[in-house]
This record gives sequence, C-alpha cells and structure tokens, in this order.
Amino acid sequence: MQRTGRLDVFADEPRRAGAARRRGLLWVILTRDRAAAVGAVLIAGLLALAVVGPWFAPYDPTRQDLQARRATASREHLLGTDEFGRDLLSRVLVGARYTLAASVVAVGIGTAAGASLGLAMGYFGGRLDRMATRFVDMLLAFPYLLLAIVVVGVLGPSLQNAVLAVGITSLPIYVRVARAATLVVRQQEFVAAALAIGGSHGHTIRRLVLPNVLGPVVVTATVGMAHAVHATAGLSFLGLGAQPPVPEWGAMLSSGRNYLLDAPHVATVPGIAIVVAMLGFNLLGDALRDALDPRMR
Amino acid sequence: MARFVLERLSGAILTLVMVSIAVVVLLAIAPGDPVLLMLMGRDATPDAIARLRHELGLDRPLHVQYLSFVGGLLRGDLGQSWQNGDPVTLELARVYPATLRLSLWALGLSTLVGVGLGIIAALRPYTLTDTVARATVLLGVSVPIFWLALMLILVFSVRLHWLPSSGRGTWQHLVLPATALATYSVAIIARMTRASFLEVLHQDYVRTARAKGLAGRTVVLRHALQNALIPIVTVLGLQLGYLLGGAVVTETVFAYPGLGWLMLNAIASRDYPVVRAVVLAMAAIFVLVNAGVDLLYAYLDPRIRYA
Amino acid sequence: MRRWIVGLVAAAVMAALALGVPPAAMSQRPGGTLRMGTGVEPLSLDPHHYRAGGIDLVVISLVTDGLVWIDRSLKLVPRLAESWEWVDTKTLRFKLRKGVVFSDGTPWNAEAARLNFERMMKAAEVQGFFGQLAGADVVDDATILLRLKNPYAPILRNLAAPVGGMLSPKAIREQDRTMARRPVGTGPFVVEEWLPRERLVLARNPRHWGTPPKLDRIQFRPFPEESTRLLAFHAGELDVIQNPVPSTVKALERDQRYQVLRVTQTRNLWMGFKMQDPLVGRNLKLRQAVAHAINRTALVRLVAEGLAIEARSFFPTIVIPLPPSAYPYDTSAAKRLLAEAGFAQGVRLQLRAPQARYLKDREIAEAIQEQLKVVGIQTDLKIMEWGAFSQDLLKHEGQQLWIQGWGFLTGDPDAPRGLLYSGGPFNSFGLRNPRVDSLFDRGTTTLDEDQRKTIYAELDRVLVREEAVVVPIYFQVGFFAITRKVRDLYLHPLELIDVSTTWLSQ
Repeated sequence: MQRTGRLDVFADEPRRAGAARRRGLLWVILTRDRAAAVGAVLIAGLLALAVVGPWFAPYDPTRQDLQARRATASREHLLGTDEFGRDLLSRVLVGARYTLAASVVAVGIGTAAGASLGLAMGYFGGRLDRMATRFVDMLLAFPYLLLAIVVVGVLGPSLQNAVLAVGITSLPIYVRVARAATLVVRQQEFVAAALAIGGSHGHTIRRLVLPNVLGPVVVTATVGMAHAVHATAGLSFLGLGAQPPVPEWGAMLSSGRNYLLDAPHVATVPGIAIVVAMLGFNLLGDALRDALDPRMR
Repeated sequence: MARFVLERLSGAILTLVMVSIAVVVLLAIAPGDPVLLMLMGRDATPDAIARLRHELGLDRPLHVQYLSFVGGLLRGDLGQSWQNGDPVTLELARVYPATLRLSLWALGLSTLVGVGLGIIAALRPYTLTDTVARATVLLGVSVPIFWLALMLILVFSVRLHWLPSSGRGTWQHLVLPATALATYSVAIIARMTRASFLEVLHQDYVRTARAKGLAGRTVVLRHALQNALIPIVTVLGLQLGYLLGGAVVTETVFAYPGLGWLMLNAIASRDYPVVRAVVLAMAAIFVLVNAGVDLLYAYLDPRIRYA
Repeated sequence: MRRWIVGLVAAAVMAALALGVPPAAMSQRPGGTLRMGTGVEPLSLDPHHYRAGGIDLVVISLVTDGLVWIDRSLKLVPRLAESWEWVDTKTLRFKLRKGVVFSDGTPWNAEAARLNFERMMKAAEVQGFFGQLAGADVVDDATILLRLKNPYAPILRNLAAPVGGMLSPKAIREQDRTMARRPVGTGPFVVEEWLPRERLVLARNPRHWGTPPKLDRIQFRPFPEESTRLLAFHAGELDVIQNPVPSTVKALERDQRYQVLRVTQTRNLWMGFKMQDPLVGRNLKLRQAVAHAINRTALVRLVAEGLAIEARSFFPTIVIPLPPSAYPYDTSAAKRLLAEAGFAQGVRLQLRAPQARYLKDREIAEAIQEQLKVVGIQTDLKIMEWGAFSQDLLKHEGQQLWIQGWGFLTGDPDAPRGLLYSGGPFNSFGLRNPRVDSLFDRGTTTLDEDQRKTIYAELDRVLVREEAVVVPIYFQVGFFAITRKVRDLYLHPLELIDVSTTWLSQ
C-alpha cells in the first residue's frame, strides 16, 4: 500500500547494497547516465557556492541604496539591483547558503523523523503500525498550506518556521518509503535467523535493516531537496516564508514578481538560481532512483 | 475481497474523522480572531463584538463547536460562510466543478505529454534522445510554479495576446493554468511510463514478437503499451488526487475560482465554516482516490488482498 | 475646393477650442463596459450588514443612495433628502426627494426611510455608526424626524457613508436574506450578475432618479495575486486597476497608454506606544525620543515611493484642518531625551508590523528600525500576517511599539473612538486617559463645526505632542491605473470611485 505517486517505483524493491558497492554504483551511474553527471556537477557547484559564495560577494547583501533601485546590470552591479537597490549578485551568492541550508534542514526533519517512524512501523508492525498509518494518512490528506499557516502563525513567520512546516509536510513520504523497505527486509530469512540466534532488535535494525532502508531514503531525500526548495519558495510567495532582508532565493523571486515587465532581472536572477539548484537535485535523484530499481538495469 | 474493501473503506473514514478533528483544533490554535477581522477598523462597540461572537458560536467550548460541526455535516448542513453569508454547500458547489475541470485538463495534458515523452525515452534508453526527453521533463518540475505561471501569462497574454491571462469562461481560459499545473505530473507520468516500458520491452514475449519480425511500431503499440498500462493508470489516479488538492498556487496566480483560492481566502479571513468544509472536501478527494486506487490494484493483482 | 474644406475644419476646431471642449469630447458618447481589476471581491453588498472590505463600499455606493452624500471635497450634499435641519440637539428633520423609485419599482418615501432606520438599529455590524439612533417618526410622505439617544454630531456623515444606503422596503420584506448579493437601492447602477470570484457586473439602473451615467456596465474582477492583475491590465483585459503595485506606478505613469489617478484618502498610518508597558508607558521622554527619531520625509519619499502624504498630525487634515502637532525629525533631540529618560547607553524595544495591509507597511517598519537604531534604540522587528497581527494588537504584555493604520470611513474625526477611548474595543494602546475620553465625548455632542475643530485640534495635540502616545507617519493616497480609453473617472477620498460622468473613448 505504499504508493505516493513519485516514489513507489523502487520502494517495494529494497537493495542489499553495502557501502562500498553503493559507491561503485554511483560511479557507474555517473559515467553511464549523462543526465546524472550534469546533476552531480550542478549540485557540486551549489555546494561550493554555499561554502565560499559569501567571500566573493562584492557588497553587503542587505545594504539598501534606495537611489539605485532596480538598476539593470552594470559594472558596479554585475547582475543589477533589486527593489531596494541591493546588489543582486551579492544576494544570490550569500543566498545559496540560506537556500541550501533550508532544504537540508527540511529534508533532515523529514528523513530523521519520517524514516525512523517508518522503520519502526515496518519492523514492529502491529498496533503501532496501524495507528501511525492513520496518522500519516491524515497528514497526507491534510492541505499542507493550512498546516504551514498554523505552524508559521503560532511561531511567527521566518525562514526557520517555513522550513519546519515544509519538513513536517514531507514526513509521510519518508515514512512510506522507509516502512515499505523495512517490511520487505523483515520478511527475509536472514532477519529471522539473526533474531533466532539471539540478536537484539537494536542490533538487527542497525546491522541488517538500516542498510537496506538507507538506499531508498537517500534517493527520496535527493529528490526531496528539490521539493523543499520549491515548497519554501511557494511559502514565500504566499507571504509565509523568509522575512526581509534575508536573501533566500525563494523570497527574492517572490518579491521580484511584481517587476516582471519593467525590471525582469529582479525575478530572473534568483529564478534561474532556483531552477539550476532544483534541476541538479532532480537529475541526480532521478538517476539514483533508476540505479536502485532492478528493472532499470 | 469483501473484507478487504470493508477494511480499506473504514480506514478511509477514520482518516477523515481525524482530519475533521485536526482542522477544528488547528483553527483554534492558529492565531487570529475572526470577529476582530470582521469588525476591525470600524467604530464597533464592545457589545456588538460580544453579540457577533455569540452569533458565530465562538463563545462555546471547543468540543461543542466540533460536535455541532459534525452534527451539521451528517445532516448535510455545513453552515454559512462568515464572510459573505452564503451557505458553505453552495460555495463548494461553485468551486468543485471548476477545480475538477482544471484538474482533468491538467491530467489530460500531462498524460499526453508524459506518456509520449516516456515512450520516446524508453525506446532508446541512455541515448541522447533519452537524456533530452528526461532533462526536458525535469526542467519543467524545476521551475517554481508561481514563476512559471507568471511567465506563461507574460508571454502568451501580454506579449502575444493569444490567450486570456486569468479568470474563467472559455476553454482558452484553461490552457495556461492547466499547463502550469500539469508540469509536475508530467515528470511523474513520464518516468513511470519509461520505467514500465523498459520493463515490458525486456520481457520475453516482446523479444519474441520482435524476433518474429514484427515492425517496431506494432510491437510498441500492440504489446508493450497494453502491458505497461496498468502501473501508468495507477499513477494517473493518484495524480488526479494530487492535482485536485494542489491547485492553490495555480488558482491564485490565474485568479481561477476554484477550491484552492477559496481555501486560501477563507484561511486569511479565518472563515472557519469554509475552512473546515474545504479541508474536509480536499481530504475526502485524496482519501477516496487513494482507496479507489488500492481497490483497483487489489482487483487487478489478487496477491495484495492477502498481504 | 480643397482650401474651402480645410477652412471649414479649422473653423470647427477653433469653435471647439473656443467653447472649451477638448476635441476628444466630440466623440464622447454613452455606452460600453468599464472593466475593473480589484484585489478582493465584495463580501456583502448589504449596506447595513457590511463586512470589512473596501471594495464592498465602492459597489454599495454605486447601487444604493443615502439621505445625504459626501462629495469629493468631503462636503455634505443632498441625495435622497433634499434638505435637513437640527430641530434640537437630539432630533433631525429630513425633507425627502420626491419622485424617486427603487430599482424594483417601489417608491421612496418617509415610510421607506423609517423601515431602513429600524433595520440599521438592529444590525450588529453598523452599531458603531448608528448606535445613537433612538427611532424615527414619519411626519408626512416626504418628511421624517430622526431621534437620537444623545446629541451626536457625526450622524449626518455616518448616514452619508455607504453604510447609510437606503434599501427597497419591498426587498427588505421579501428577500432580506439575499440582500448581501442583490441589494435593491436607488443608485445609478443595479447588480446584474455576480459569479463569486469570477466577476460582478453592475448595469445602469434605468429607474435612477438623477443624471443617468454614461456607462452601460461596470465589471469588477477580483485578483488574489496583484502581479497577475497588473499583467492582465497590460494584456488589455482591464481598463482600470485598483492600487497597482506601488513600485510600478512610475513606469505606468511614463507609459503613453496609461494614466495614474491619485487622491489623498482619509486613512492614516502611525506608530503607537503600548501604554500598559512599564518601559514606554510610564516614560514620556522615551516616547518623545522615539518620535524625534522618525524621519517621515524619507519614509514617504523613498520607501512609500511618494505615494503617501507626510502626516504631521494624527487626524488626517482633509478630515479636519489642524495645526501640525508631530515632533520634528531631530536626532540630537532624540538622543538627548533618551539620555534624560535614563537610557544613555541605549535601549531595546519590541516593534511589530503587519504585512501587505497598508501601503509599504513592511518596508516602512524596516526603515523605522534603521532610523531608531541611529539614535541608539534597538528594536526586535516582528512582521506578521494580518490575521495574527490584528489579534496580537489587543495584547499588552511585553510589547512596546507597533505600526497600524486607521480609516476615517465617513470622513468624521470621531472614527478612532474605539481605538483611543478608555476600554474601547480596538484600544490597542491600552490608553486610559480621562482627558482624551472627555474630548471625544465633547467632539460628538458638539454640533457646531468650528467648535469641533478646536476640540479635535486639542485632542490631536494631547495624543501626538503632550502625551506622545502616537507618532504619525503618513496619510494614505489612493491610486488607480487607467488606460487612455477611460475618461472622466475620479477617485473619492473615502476610498470610493466617482463614475457619474465616466465614459469610454474608442
């Protein structure tokens, strides 16, 4: 019963892949699949930007210059300025960190809470499984927007709280993926054998179940990164995201949307940054998923 | 089979009950006072505020509010919108067909494009054709939907004057919002199609058919498509659920009078009866489509029933 | 021959110019639909059950008439009443216009007026406007006496506002519940079609008593997303858009195809002090220091893009003419007062502001944060969605400063009573000042306009200067973008539009 639309392809076919083999697999994918290679390069670029980007920012990304609002590209401002006269290049460079951190945290919440819950559900089954399934179904059926408004409303609008909301709403996907993978492993003879020779549950989970669940979860998380970037931008669009003057790309894109006609660069610059980041995660995640799916080999 | 159906349906109903409780509780937790929002800015007297609060039933304890909501629900009475006084059932009747229409258009569009691109990619896996087809699809999902939507308006309405920018009316009004909404589903349908096709193309009977000397096109259309269809149909069912519920941003940008816009508006003004009804309606679509897909699956694949 | 024609044309043009008629006016003709893009759609078109929402009032004012009307210069002029006089301080006599019928054919008379007064007295939503009504007596078919509980000067303006619109007695009897969707009034237009969230169409009322409007129809379309509204305008799907994104106004003004209309409105924006707070509530010098630190010229010119008027008093000067009362921008005075208040080494305050509620509210708050920092006042700025903000307003713990606006919807200075009167329902200040209360009371019970001006000038001085509970920032300006096709459309300071002479050129 584990079908969430985009993730089910591999969910019912977990891999027994050791760490070493997985590294080899990744290499195979990257060399065989050009799309994956492009994705990996984009992600590497994004990571590099997040680490060193701020050092190269020519201006303080929050410094306003109201006289030079919405200026187009020039020698002083290579990518132009935004509606407060802030340097767009600096904002994009510094913003990489916020955008990446936001998606990492959102996905982290999803994987940490979601995957462990899913694992527990699949492993122990029984009443816990049934009750948690109801809860997850409810979360899935609940409009994420209302949830986001409540989270942001109670805690106040900020990037952190938007990220929390995105993380919570992504829980069900990870629960389902982890649960499905666990269920299959649980039925394998080697798990029963491990328990029969006196292995503890903790040990069994750590050594036998987790390695098999990790693969699908990592793939889900890769695509989930793209989803988190998108969802955070969506919350900014609805006024529930990052607060000014934080140069988060989604917030920048959303405040630039009013100048599409007279100063399109205000939206285009962060927009392209977002597309590139999301495309990277999507390409890589897609290829990883193929690689883990036995039917694709 | 009957037991499976029963279990699946009771599970769906239980989920909806939990959603209904959650929405009432969350609305109570969420900051914002509906009465203040209605009267703010005017020279209202404290007495008028208390009167309005009482009229809306906001002075009652939460469980009483919940029970009266459920009671009304069972009688088919969802109350009236606090904003415009219209019966909530009427509001739902207005937006439901609109959203359904938009979703079906988006689903049709994404099926056409998704299945097409999926087949193209599957026929020549790991070639340039495959890479380009997949990259195109992924580029589509990588553009934030509100930006894509605004760019579509900018190009096709403002610059080219081919299509209306927003609103509802003719089929032309549906083209842009359906396109924006479809991009996400295109990617999922395309990859599902590609996956099932690749699998089917590797099956013995397809190889046999090819060996028999049947033309490539015949093999694809007659044999492969038929067998690859079942998982694709499943994904389509789930995508309809997603599209119906996921149109908030699309409807907002295109000023399209559907469920998503209604909900956004109702949340902003803390119009509890409408929020409750819309959330429950969205959840119901989702849960029912899911249950339907599961039942269909169980019907097609008997192993699931006994799992 | 040719010369003869040229001469004739020249003569015609000369004649047109001499008559003061612009050439375009020669093609001035009735007909056509004015397509207007708004932010939201009306919630209720029932004047007496009016919900919050500016567009509601715009439509109500086109569909119904009140006894009196406030013209664009905020003067009271006759409408459904031809004249009125105070019989005593608690009684008004209205002489009604004759020969008027509602759009359903029901005649307008004193009995219809009495029925409407009763309806106003019962409706919870308009008690702030009509809570002082005690009853109405029909004298004859065209004369009615309106009795008040207390002397109450704002009553005429309240009756003139859209909430004082008169509805058909027949409609009240037969379709009271649908009045919010299909109000039946005497106005120049009637509701022809309303598809919620799609369009609201008003058609010319053939039974209207006054000069018929030139437009056949007005179509309102709501856009939840303002950039779409702007794009739809550029795509030629709309003739008018309400409050386009402020930062696009300059580009719209430069564009030959468009024109931007502006009007100063009766709404203000200010920063308030929580008077229950031990830090700012008991420290006048600290409040004065904050007031001196605000550079409203910069806020209006650079942040609000010049789309507002600097406020030097709390009460909008178009509502009531007042001498300036605000503390001038003076950072050294601010620093000195801060030191005298005992915060020489600085102080940290909480500042809250709503978002997307008032013109550039969030940006104003950000800029104020910067301005306060300069004189040594650190602020924790919290930007909130309106629903949450409005509820937070009435809390008083741990809060010091916030930014808010107030509309004077009837153009009467009594409007902020609920905001400032002790125990008032919207008293976000937590203010309990007997002097303020007594000035508000005197302001409403005094009927003489000149005396009222003195009273409100004193009230303004107490609030802004002596007690420094509020720092005025700006008076709002309304602005609409129209295409060149639209002629003679006017904006009304009470956030309404005047389409009585509007026409569309080709």
